[in-house]
Amino acid sequence: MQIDALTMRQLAAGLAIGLGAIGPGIGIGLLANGALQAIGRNPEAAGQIQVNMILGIAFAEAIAIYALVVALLLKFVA
Amino acid sequence: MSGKGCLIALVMLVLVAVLCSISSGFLGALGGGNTGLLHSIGLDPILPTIKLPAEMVVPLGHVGSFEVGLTNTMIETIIVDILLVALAAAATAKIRAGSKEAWVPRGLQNLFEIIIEALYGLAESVLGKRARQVFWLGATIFLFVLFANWLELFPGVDSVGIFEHPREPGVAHSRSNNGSGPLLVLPEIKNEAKPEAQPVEGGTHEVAEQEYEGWELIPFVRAAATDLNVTLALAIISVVMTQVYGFRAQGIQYLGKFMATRRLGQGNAMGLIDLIVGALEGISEFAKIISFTFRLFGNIFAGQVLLFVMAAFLIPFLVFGTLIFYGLEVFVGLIQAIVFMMLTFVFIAMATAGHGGEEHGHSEAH
Repeated sequence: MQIDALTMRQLAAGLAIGLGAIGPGIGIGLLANGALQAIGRNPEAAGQIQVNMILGIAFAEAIAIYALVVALLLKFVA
Repeated sequence: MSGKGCLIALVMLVLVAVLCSISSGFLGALGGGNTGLLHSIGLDPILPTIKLPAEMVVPLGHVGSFEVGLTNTMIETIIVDILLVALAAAATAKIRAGSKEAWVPRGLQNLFEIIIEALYGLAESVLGKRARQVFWLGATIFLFVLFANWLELFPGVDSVGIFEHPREPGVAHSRSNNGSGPLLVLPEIKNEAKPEAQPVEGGTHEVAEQEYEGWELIPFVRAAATDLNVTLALAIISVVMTQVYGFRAQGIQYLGKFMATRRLGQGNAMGLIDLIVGALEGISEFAKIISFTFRLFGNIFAGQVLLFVMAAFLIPFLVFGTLIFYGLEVFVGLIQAIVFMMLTFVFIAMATAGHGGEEHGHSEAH
């Protein structure tokens, strides 16, 4: 296989989303960890904790989404 | 529910499951394995084209360099709108008629009252008394996004459409050598017309646009959130309404969030930091638009591609394989709708509460 611009672009797109997903993955794991521990200690507050956990996950996920945007730009636009 | 009704529901469920599985595998699958179940009976699933922009289904002409017409995501938006209006009309029919039957909600009205009450509970937990004022915005976004996301999972969406020559090179195409017939390609003919990266001169069609070898499917209906225009529009509505409610609640003081000159006016050098923080607040409003847009788009687009790919790679081995991912997509669709609504509520709550007032009270207490 020869290394040309197209190959490099595809490699870059793969790396962009692959590396960009590491951080948010760890973050979401920590969030769920904290939320589940909180629910375990105080099951009555489960509803409130879940809502806040989902919001936190949405913010953590946004970082992965930025990586996805870069990957899509590399794949389809650049 | 009686035992008979339960049985009917169960049979329906299994039928829908089989239908989903078959349609996603047979009609919307990727050219994956040359081994397995379908191949052994002489059928080979093919690849639906994965494209970023929405495809034009009903072209109406050109305005400048823009092609105007109905795209497949617009068609889904219209379907969702009609569905929501019809459901709203049906659910509130008895209330609007002033019938006493509406006092004890049943059926559809009951279902929607449950949904609205649950949403209102969420809104109240974030916004408190202001929930009454802004509930319509978040609830509308929630219902629209939810229906748009779940419509993607119906058999036929993304898999029924027009078969035509691709307009650009380098994308994956189906391997059928004629534009007619089912999307299942028999193995004997599938290698005759290989998609080529090089453009073919002229072509058999009188279309001015250049066309390439191979065939691709332009679906009639495609999930609305896989079009950036839809998610960007929702994001702009959400963020602009946040500013509107911020101004309504705080008046001109709301601008103080972006141009914090109060401490600088008092001759406090720390006010310079306030200025920078204010500028960052302004930037974060635009960042909100971007992350709203791409969060919904990314999740649904990735889900769509995931279903395509999994249908292709799992179907040859296991007919029910894609069902797991259908379950995942049902969940993702719901979560994304909730997240969009909740973030709208949270941002409005932040804009209306305003930390300027609190800070003021704090400094007075000193």
